Amino acid sequence: MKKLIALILTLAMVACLFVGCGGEAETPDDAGNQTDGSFTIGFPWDTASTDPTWVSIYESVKVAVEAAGGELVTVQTDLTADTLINNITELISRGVDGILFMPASDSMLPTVDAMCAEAGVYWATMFRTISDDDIREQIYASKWFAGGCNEDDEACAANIVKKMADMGVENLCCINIAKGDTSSDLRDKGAAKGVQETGINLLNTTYGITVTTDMTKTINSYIAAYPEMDGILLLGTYCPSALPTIEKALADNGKAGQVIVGRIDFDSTMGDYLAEGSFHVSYGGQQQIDPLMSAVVLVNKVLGTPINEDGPTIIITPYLELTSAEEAAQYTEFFLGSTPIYTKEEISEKMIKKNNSAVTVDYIYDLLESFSVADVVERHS
Amino acid sequence: METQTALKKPGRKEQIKTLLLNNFSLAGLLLVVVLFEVLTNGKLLGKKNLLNIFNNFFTIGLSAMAFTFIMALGELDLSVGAIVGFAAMAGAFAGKISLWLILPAALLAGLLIGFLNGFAISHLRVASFIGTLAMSFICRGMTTWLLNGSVGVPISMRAFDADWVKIVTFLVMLVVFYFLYEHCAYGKQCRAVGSSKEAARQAGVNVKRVRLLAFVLSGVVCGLVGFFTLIRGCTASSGTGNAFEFDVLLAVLFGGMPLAGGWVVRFRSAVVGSIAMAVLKSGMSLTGIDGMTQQIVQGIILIVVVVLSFDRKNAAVIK
Amino acid sequence: MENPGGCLFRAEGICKSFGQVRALVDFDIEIAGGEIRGLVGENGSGKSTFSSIAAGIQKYDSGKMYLCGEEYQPNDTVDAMNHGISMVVQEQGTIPKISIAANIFFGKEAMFVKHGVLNVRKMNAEARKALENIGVTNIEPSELIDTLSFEDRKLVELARALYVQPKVWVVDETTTALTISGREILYRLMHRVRDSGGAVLFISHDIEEIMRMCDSLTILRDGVLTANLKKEEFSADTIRQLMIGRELSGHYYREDSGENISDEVVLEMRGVTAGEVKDATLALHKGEILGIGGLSDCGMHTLGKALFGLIPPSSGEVLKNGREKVKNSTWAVRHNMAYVSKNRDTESMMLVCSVEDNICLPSLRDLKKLGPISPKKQRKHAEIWAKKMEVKANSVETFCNTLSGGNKQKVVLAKWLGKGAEILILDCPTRGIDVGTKAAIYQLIEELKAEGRSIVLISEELPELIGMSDRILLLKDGSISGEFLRKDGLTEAKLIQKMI
Repeated sequence: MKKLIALILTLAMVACLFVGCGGEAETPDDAGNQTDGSFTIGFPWDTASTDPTWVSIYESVKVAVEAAGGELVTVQTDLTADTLINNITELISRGVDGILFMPASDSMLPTVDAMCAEAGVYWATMFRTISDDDIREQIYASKWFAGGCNEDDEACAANIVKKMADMGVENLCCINIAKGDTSSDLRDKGAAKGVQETGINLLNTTYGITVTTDMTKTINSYIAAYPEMDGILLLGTYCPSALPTIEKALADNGKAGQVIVGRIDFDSTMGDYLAEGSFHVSYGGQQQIDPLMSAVVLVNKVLGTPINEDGPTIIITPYLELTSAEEAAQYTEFFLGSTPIYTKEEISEKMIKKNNSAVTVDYIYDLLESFSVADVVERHS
Repeated sequence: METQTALKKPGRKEQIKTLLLNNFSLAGLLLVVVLFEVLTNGKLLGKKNLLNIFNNFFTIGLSAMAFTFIMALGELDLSVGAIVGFAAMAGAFAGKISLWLILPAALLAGLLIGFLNGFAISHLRVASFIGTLAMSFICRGMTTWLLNGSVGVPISMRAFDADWVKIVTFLVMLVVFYFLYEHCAYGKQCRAVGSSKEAARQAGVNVKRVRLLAFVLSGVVCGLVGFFTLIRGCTASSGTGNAFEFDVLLAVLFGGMPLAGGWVVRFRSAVVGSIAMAVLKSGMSLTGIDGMTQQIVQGIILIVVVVLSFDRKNAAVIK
Repeated sequence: MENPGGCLFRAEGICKSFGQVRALVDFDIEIAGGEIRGLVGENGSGKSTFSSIAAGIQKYDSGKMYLCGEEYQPNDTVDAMNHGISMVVQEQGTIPKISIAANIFFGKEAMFVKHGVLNVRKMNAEARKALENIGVTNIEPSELIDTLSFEDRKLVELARALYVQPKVWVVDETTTALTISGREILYRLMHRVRDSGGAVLFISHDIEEIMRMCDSLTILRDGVLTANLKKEEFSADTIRQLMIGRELSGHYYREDSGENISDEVVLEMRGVTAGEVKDATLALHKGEILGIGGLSDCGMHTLGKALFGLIPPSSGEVLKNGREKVKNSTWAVRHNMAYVSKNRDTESMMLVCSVEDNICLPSLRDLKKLGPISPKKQRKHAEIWAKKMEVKANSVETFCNTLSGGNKQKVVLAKWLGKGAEILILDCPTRGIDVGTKAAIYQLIEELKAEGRSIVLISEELPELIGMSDRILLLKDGSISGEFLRKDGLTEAKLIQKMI
């Protein structure tokens, strides 16, 4: 009896398998054909996050893909190298025409390129540059690498350190994303450069904080260990509500307002803290423009009209500086709101080469030149 | 309480009920497969996606099989993911000397950590939950510190990431572990220790050695998984193997493995559970369910499975 | 009590099934006030089922119960206690992690609550009174119950059961958990309940005890009432026969008077100190049954474990055949030694596990020939030895937790016989086991001796030691206090002298 049921279950499974295979043979491979100009772009992203910035990144990619007439397919990821590789395998098997992702390390890129070349799928990166010379050379030579955007992490970190020094910081503590991450390493380098140039002290740097309790602990131990600390710089973090956590920890220790707090990357809460004076300077604003531009680079490539015809299109996106509550409020409204920084129509008209043959790398840089909080406010209000 | 008298043959209805309960993991798997097969218009079991499912399943399945021995002992290994990361790092560094050293280095690293785990638990009497958790912190810390970023291996190593290599590896391990668990003294001794440590000891089972070996076994398999993870992405980073232990734990629980261990721990739970997990993940991804909902669904399924697999007959004994 | 001497408690046509198993079939019983009624039967005969129904622990399927002429249908144990029926059980019946006083008044806390606050001091004082009431003065009621020994916890249960004089007091196999002094307290309390017009329902495996204590006796077999006996009809043989339903073949204990034993020493202890055992030196000869006795905390159980290598001695050594040191239990099993623990359910067997797997566990190494063990061979091994020991189970796939105590012990012995053990260390092998299985185990021990195997029999029951041993060693406070030979004649009086 027992064996019988086990047998029936097994048979049923095998039957399902055949039904599945048969089914696939009948339905046309909907992603493979491009006759009507429609295409799909795969995007591994942490869709479980409700952080406004993360949602806005997703929305920015989506609007760019749709502006070019494509469809976006997301898969859930935790952004580690192994998971991303699995995500990419999955997306390839689902027949996407291009893949956009945020790399977790340089060393994973040759693998991704090999996988994409095998499957004939274009790929692009966002937020990250390639620091390893050998790997960069190899990837830039690949015909499947469309390119991508990154910000000048190093310069940005150096600049914000200088800015904070101008604001009177002499003893600085930093917080950064886990080591090994390309941006993290570059920002570290930049911060070190800024520290060297200004002559202030860098007391300590903590890496890889992802939960608020760890953030609180870190700030508490900074305050305990370095009574002279007068500046905290968030070089980058995946920790949710980082600013409120830092503000709370400082206030609990009676240090609110006495420590200059700065961060790279904007977030949705900074307006309140800028207004009350517990937060002072932020460099960023690239979180929306970077993925949007990266997606534009990729869709142009997929459509057969690459922006740079002689190789990958690499675009360095500018940083915006933000020091007042008013600017922060505008940022929250126009960058994190329901309308993306460029609308579908704007992208379709201005940035898709198929529709606008004037699109070149220089053209894009011209567009970015005028990109600022005020610019978005003007276009969309 | 005395309940033994005049045993009647159990009725047909009862029989079917117990049968379903005994095979509910298989039934659950079937349900998951059919459900997503319909929801995805047959894409789930398409040839391409089957390979995807296999890729997802491969590492989880390997670790889950070795995990079965630890579960049978009534213990836990929370360092699985950290060992994978550590082994991948060891492999990546060894690859800088010679490509032939990658696999041995990864296996050796896994063996070493597994041995330390086992020694702490069997000889120093640390609770496995705590011991392996501590070990996972140590491994993670060492990996992050030593890697100081990420280290790659030549892309030519991807040749070993071929499907046939993995399928053969998996089948060989499946047969080896199946026999070791179901038909060898060792597997039976593991289950005996899990059922009653004292009874096993009094029946001549070398409890310390049995426990030590289980963790060593798990460590070596994690080393193997570390190797495959390394050559798949050709990169080892501090995030390698991140949260993998929970994937494995979830898989065996999905398969209906009781946490209390003992004789009722079945080998097939590991395989069925891993497949179910891989299918479920792939199915949810294919149907475009977002990450948040995926987590909720996993949580609900876990509770349902644990409730269903709870054997009332043995409730009085499992404390 | 309204009607002393008359019918106090009556049950009619009680039926109870557990799934497929019918534990009680149309059971009738009538107990008068001022009576100690014995209830006996083999394991699984339904006596515990009935007592737990009477005490409100479980519900019955059909039938009626009357108390003092009124219909009685307890909802739970507290309800039953309020009606005047209380019970003490074989297994641990106290609730851990709370104080002794809280245990005594569990379910009756309301007595001490004033304005919503529990008056702990009052409760403790009352608990002390309850304990004194049963003649126990050395227990402090405010302490946690976990600080007490098993026996003292039993005494706490007695205090709880007798705090309010019960009309009907159910005593379910409580004596096995008690030492001689504890038993004396219990017996005294039973007499007190009887003398004040209440009734006692006394369940025990010990037929001598039943005959001594009870005024009348009800015998159950397979859930069916087989006989009601009056005191004058009591005889051990009749009772055993009625319980088992067939004539016990021949004798119970050994009948020979002991002969000379070979000089060959198979297992010995040389000045071993381990746990409670102090400087023990002893030798077990080939083909000998060596009895070891004493009070339950004299160290004899530790001695058994030390002999098997389960407890490493802090000084001295345990030697097999005069030269090989017993290193640990793994070594011992490999060298054909066997050990049956006093705590069968926790130490001797895996409960959530089949008969087959239990029987095969020590023999796994012998069953395999290069690598895998053949399932067929394993099944055969289990079936042979289960059959030899007459284990009553549907098949060897039956899980052990569904078996009765006697059958479990048979499985434990089967696993060692299957291993081919030459030296058997049996610690209380007949503890909590029905008469039928007991007789079978005694017979088996004799057969093993006849085959030239050597046995260490550790027991708390003197008749058993006297009945079975070639030689008896007595322990007192961890040291060997006396040695007696069967051929010189053994009596309980002689032994007790050396025990206390």
